[in-house]
Order: sequence, then structure tokens, then C-alpha cells
Amino acid sequence: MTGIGSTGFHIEPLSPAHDREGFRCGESALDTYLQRQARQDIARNLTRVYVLTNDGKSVNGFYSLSATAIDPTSLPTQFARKLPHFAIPATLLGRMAVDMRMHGRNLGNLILASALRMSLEGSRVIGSWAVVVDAKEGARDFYLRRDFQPFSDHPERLFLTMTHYARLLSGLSIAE
Amino acid sequence: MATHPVAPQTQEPTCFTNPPSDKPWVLTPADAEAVIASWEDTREPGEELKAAFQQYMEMVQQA
Repeated sequence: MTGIGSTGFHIEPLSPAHDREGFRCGESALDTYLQRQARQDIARNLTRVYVLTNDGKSVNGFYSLSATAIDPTSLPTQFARKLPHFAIPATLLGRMAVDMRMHGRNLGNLILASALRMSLEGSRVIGSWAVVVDAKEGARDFYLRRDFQPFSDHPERLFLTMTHYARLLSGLSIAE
Repeated sequence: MATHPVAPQTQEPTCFTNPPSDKPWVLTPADAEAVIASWEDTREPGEELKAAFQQYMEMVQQA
């Protein structure tokens, strides 16, 4: 691999050991969520939050996962006609951000890959058809370039099927 | 040793949840097999998604 700045990083569940106050991604709603809301949501089992850190304390990035449901009529026709006509279980990548000081190091790649891997593992316990994300303005292309597809009724909302990601792992001969 | 009479258990239900929709979704087994097969996303993974995962694996292996 090329020098992409992943050396020394790891991803772990958000805990009191992490310095949430120092996190700045440039979007105050995401900063505030991590600093004020995330721990409460975890305690109430509304979401799970994972952080990217290089020292076990600094938060260099984070993402959250929770359960959601897809209205099949909101999917592109080629998917909708093949799915049952009730809410389709899915995994919501609700929040995802990288600290501004880490900008330019492709850490979004690490976080997204981790989120997809975690979602796929979860889908083996509780069925989930796809990972869903509401892309922030300007981030849509990031997801589209990584195989996400837009919902037919909401172009900023994107999904990636578990099947697709599992195929990637299979193609790379990754032991699951 | 004293024995205690076991109270008869109430009959457990066989259906524990409501269906996800109030409209029943009924398929024959053959239909169901075809539908499930068709759920698959048949695209090949793109290069940037592969790169993202390879970067992730590099991080995991170095941890």
C-alpha cells in the first residue's frame, strides 16, 4: 500500500477514556453529538459509536451505527421489484466524521471500511440488507465512488448492500 | 425429599410477533427461492471500495 497514513491507528468503541472535547470536524452538529449526545445514546442502546484513535485517547474520527428500515418503494426500481413489500431491515451509518487536523490522510476510508465490516458482522446476527447513509452536502461523491447508490426519492440518501461488501471480501480472499 | 407438584404450563404461542406489514406476504417455496436469489447485488466491487478496505486491513494488521 502507498503511504496513506493508517500506521498506528486503530478503531475501538467510544469510552470515557477518549478525549471527546478536543474533536473538531468542522461541522458543529457532529462535534456536539460526539461531545454531548453519543454516550447517552450508547447507554440507551440507541446506537453504537466507534472512534479512530492513534493513542487510545485522541479521537481522530468516529462513526455511529444503529438499526433502521428502508421503505422498498424508495429504492431504485431494479431493487424494489425484487424485495418484499414491507420495511427492509438495514444498518444506518448515522454519523461519520474525521478531525480537521487529520484532513487529507484518507482516514475516511478507514472509518468507512470499518463501519462496513462491523455492519456485515452484525448482519450475520440480525438481518440487515444494506448500509444506509444520509450523505452530508459535499460528501455524496465520496460514497458514490465507493459503490454506494442513491435512493430514488432522496438522492442524498445512499445505500450499499451487504451482498456487495461481502463480495468484495470474498474477492480479496479475506477470511471472514 | 419433598416433591412439589408442578403446575401445568400455559400453552406457549407459536407466533410471537406480528408480521412486518398488515398485508400478508405469501410466497410458494419456489417463489421465495427465486426472490431471495434476486436480492443479490451483482455488481463487482469498485476500485475505491477495494482500496478503502485494503487500507483498513493494513491498519488492522499493524495494530
